[in-house]
Formats: sequence, C-alpha cells, structure tokens
Amino acid sequence: MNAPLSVRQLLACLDVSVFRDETAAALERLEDERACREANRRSFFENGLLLAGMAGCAAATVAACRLSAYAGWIGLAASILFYRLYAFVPVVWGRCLCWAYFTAGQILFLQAVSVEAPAVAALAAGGFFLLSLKKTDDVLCLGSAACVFCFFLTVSSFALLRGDALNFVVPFLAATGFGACAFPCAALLPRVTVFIFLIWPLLLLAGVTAGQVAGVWNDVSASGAAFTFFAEFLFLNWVLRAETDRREKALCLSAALLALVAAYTVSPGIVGASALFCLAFLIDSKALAVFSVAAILVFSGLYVLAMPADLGTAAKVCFGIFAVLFLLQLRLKVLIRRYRERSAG
Amino acid sequence: MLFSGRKIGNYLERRADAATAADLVGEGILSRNDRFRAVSLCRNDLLWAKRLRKAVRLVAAAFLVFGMLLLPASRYRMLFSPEGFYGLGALFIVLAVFSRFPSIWNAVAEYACVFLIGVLVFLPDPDFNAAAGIWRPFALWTFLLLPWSALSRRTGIKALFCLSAAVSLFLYAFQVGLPTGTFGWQEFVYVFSAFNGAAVFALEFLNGRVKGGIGAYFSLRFVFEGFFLLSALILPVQTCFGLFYAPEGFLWAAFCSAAAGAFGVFFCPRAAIHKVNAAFFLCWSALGLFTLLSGAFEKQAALLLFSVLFFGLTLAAGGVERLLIRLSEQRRKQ
Repeated sequence: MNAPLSVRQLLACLDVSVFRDETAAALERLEDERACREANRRSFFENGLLLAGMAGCAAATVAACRLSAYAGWIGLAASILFYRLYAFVPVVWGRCLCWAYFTAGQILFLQAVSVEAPAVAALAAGGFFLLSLKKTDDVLCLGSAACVFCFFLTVSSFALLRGDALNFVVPFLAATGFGACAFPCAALLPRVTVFIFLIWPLLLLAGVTAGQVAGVWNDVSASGAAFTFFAEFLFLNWVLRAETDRREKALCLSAALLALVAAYTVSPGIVGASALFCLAFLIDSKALAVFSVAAILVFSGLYVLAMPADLGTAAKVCFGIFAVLFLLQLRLKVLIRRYRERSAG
Repeated sequence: MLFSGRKIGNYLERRADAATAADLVGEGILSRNDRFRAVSLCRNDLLWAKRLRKAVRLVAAAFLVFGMLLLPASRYRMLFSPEGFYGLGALFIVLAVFSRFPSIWNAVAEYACVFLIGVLVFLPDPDFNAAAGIWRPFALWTFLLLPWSALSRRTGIKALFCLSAAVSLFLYAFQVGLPTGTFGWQEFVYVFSAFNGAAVFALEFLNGRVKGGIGAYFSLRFVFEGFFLLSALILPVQTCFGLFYAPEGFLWAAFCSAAAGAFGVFFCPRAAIHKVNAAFFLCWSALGLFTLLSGAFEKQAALLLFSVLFFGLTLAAGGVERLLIRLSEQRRKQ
C-alpha cells in the first residue's frame, strides 16, 4: 500500500479500538512524548557541532590523563563525578559535555582495567552501558555509550579469545541488535543503540577482512560470523512466519540456504550486509538501508582483492557479476513498471 | 477517567510510520505480533523497490569499475585470449539487441557496439597493427561500419564511418598506393581538408537532386564542415607554435574560409554556418597575425601588439559574419 496512512487508519486496519480507556491513556501519553521530542529536537548542524565538541573533549581528556600512573582511578572518579553532575545541568550543551567527560573517564578506567583483566573490563563496559540507558535519553550520549561498550567488548574478546574473537563478538552483538529490532523489547533499547549493535559487527568484520587482505590478521577465524549471518536470515524467516504463506516460506528458506553457502564460499560480510538490508526493509529504516548498501560495496571490493585467482580471472569474474546484476536491475525495472501500472489501474 | 480529546485527536491524525508502529507496540496498543504488519501498512513498497534497484545498480557499477581497474592491471591478458574474444563478441550481440529498444541508454549501447566492432577487428593480432599493413584493420572496420552508419540515424556514427574511411584511405595511400616519401604530413592535411570540403559541397548538391537516401546522411553536413575547417587550422596552429613550418597553411585556410563563405551564401544560408565561418576566419587570421608579429618583433612587443590588433580582427570577423548574412538574405530575396 503506497498511500500514507494516518495513525487512526492504521489502528482501524489492525482492528484496534481507540475508545478503550487504556488505549486512550496510552495515546495521550504518546502525544505528550511526541510533543516533548518535537520541542527538544536539534538541527543536524547543532547535532554535528555537539558531536564534534563531545568527541574533542573526550579525546583531549583521554590523551591528557593516559600517561598518568593513576589514570584508571582518575578515570573512575571523573566518570562518577560527571555521571552524577549530568542530571543537574539544565543546558543541552552542558549536559553533553558532562557526558563527554563521563565517557572519557570511563575509557580511562576501562583501559586500565583491560590491561589486568580483559573480561572484567568488558563486564564493566556492559555495566556502564546499562547505567547510561537509565540515565540519559539523548541520542548522542546513548550512541557514545553504545560505541564504548562495543569497543571494549571487542578489545577484551581479542585479548581473551584471540583468533576466535569474531566468533563471539559478532554473534553477540548481531543477536542483540536483531532481537531488539524484531521483538517489542526494542523499547528497552533505544533505536540508536540497536543500530550501533547492528553496524558494529560489519565494521569489525570489514576491518579484519582488510587486515587479512593485507596479510596482517591471517589467524582470525570468521566462520562464526558467517554462521551468524546465515542465522540472521533464518531469524528473519522465523519472525515473518505469521506473515508468509507456504510458497513464500519455501522461497525465504531457499534464500537462507543460499546465504549459508555464500557466507562460507563467497564473503560473510556481503551476506551480513544483505541480511541488514532485509531488516532495514522490514523496519522501514532508510539509514540502515544506506549503511547496508555501503557495506555491500566495501565487502565486494574486499572480496575482489582477496580473490585467490590471477588478475585476469578476477576481471572476468567482475564482468560476469556486473552482467548478472545489470540484468537483475532491468528485471526490477520491469517489475516496478508493472506494479505502478497495477496501482494506477 | 478524563482524557484530552484534542491531544488524542492530534496524535490519531498524524501520519503513521515505522517509528509510530514501534511506539504503539511499546505502549501495548498493538500486540507484538502486529508490529511487522503495522510497519508493512505504513511502508511505501514502491519506494523500497526503487531503492533496491538503485542498490543493485550501484553494486553493478562497482563491479564494472573493479573489472575495468583489473583489466589494465592484468595487462589486458583476458582480452587477448580466445575466451576474451568470444566474451566481447557476446557483449557486442547483447548491446546490439539492447540498442534496438527505446531507452535513454540505447545511444550508449549503439556507440559501444560501433567501438566494439573496432576492438574485435584490432584485437586478434595486436602485432599486426604495428606492421606496415595497419590500413587493413582500418579498412575492415570501415567496411563493417558501413551497414551501421547506413541504418543508424546518429550523426556521430556516420561521422565515425567517414573518419575511419578517410584514415584507411590515407593509410593505404601512405603505405601502399604511393611511393614512400612522396606523401608528407602537409599534403595529407591539404587532401583531407579538400576531401571534406568536397563532401560538404557534394552533400548539399545532391540533397536537392536525389530523392530519398541522402536525407539520413544530410545531417553529416556539419561534421564534414567541422573536419574541413578544423583540418585547415592544423597547419596554421603548428606554424604559429613553431611545431611544423608551413606558412602556405595560412593561404589554404584563407581559401577554405572563402569557400565556406561561398557555401554559406549560395548553398546553405543559415546563421549558424555564418557564425562558424566567422569564428574560423578569426582563428586563422589571429594565428597568422601572431606569426607575422613574432617574426618581426621580440616576444613581449609581439604579444602587446597582438592584444591590440586582435580587437580589430574580432571586429573584422563580426563584419564578415554580417556581410555573409546580408549577402545570403539578398540572395534569398532574389
């Protein structure tokens, strides 16, 4: 359906009565929240400035305190101080700067801990992340907290598991992100953190693959990541089980099996990015779709560079894939035209 | 329980989207199982189909670029192999079929086909091209271009045929037809220019006399005129910049200018033709003036004088254009 629906029409389509007391109360609450969000909305320019300011403050603090022998303790103290201060600062800029210093303290503390006990550092990062969920609802603050957690989880995993780190980090983050998107417990995790959980595994895999192409990280195994991305397709099939008929189920299962083969033989990154594109379609998120297409492009480039054939054969493969994709987009063009004609008719 | 009807009404009249659906599920208004159904009701499927197509096109373009980057990196080995030759042949067939469908890309496909014919002619024996018989692949390409240029309505393809015919003719003359050393660069330029000038007049002459057939070729007039005048400018440019000394080139350019003016007045009285003629006059006369000045004065003085006299030349070119337009108008009235 292409005509935009109003909330009233949507609820009517799903046979939900707005005259029940609970529903009316919830709708009133939602309208209040929406009005509040609208009033607090910042421009893209302001967000960019705030992000730059926060990143600069955090980086400067980390760089200044890192050389100290007591960096860890200073960090812990700073993080507690600014975490407490956050609630008392009424101005957005001040609150965000408080959060930047909190993040810097957190990084210093976690870095000091990770040298002695990586597992504890990862757990502490998780704790800080859960605390931040309780403390703030600002997009930038939540995003920075999620990034710090993902970073320390990755660093600790590499320190503990070495070559098998990917087999832990990617399934953990991808499962959390996909689960949060597919289940209503999404309300527990804000949208921005879920997106970071979804994006991080692909960024990590791209870094590792680039390292493998350069011959640096040859001992890192990506088999767990490949299986995770296949499992993402299976998970999407399971989530859509009520929406699909038998024929569509068979088609989706075939796509999942194809993803399994492609993840192990071609590139797990391309499969993961494709799964992310499917999820973006399901939750109607343009930002996630744009990221997944960019990821497909990056992994395609890495796949071409890592191809174990001579350059001539690689060129042939590239032209072959180009031909197939070109025909596919022509087919899509025809389908779009038919769909448009059907809608007009 | 009292509720604000205005608030609820405002919320209900808002446009529903994926975030709204998530909020409704989060508040318990919609059940968990209804979430994707709600999102699918809000989603614009046509927009997503377009996004998917755009993504596929983007990835296809990326692979095309990768392939084109790998081709020189592999020293074009792929193209010189039999598989490469067959692959290009298959691509030619696909593009030839594709060029017949109405689309904005069929022009690209048609030009790609014409160039692929050249590639397929030149590829099998690259050493052959360095030998004395280079006119042969050019002649073969010209021969194969003939049906394309006859059937196509694109002026560029017809022009390519003419260019390839001219090159193969002159290469034949250089390598086979004439004894070595009797046919130099200067003569080549004169003959090429004269050939194209003759083609301009011939096309115009035939246009009024031959019924059918010539119409499709008639759009070539500007192409031939372009070759005619541009090739006449080659020697003045070379002389002016000291690359090749041929002062007779200025005389030839003056002759071409007069011929093109006469063509504009007597055969094709169009303002565009007169403007081209005036620009050509300005070019060759400016080059000639600068050559004369740089021969007579030192560099700085020559440039200074030229900057003043060029203004006069521009005025003269404008005068020539007005004269040609007036003459052609008088002729039309008669």
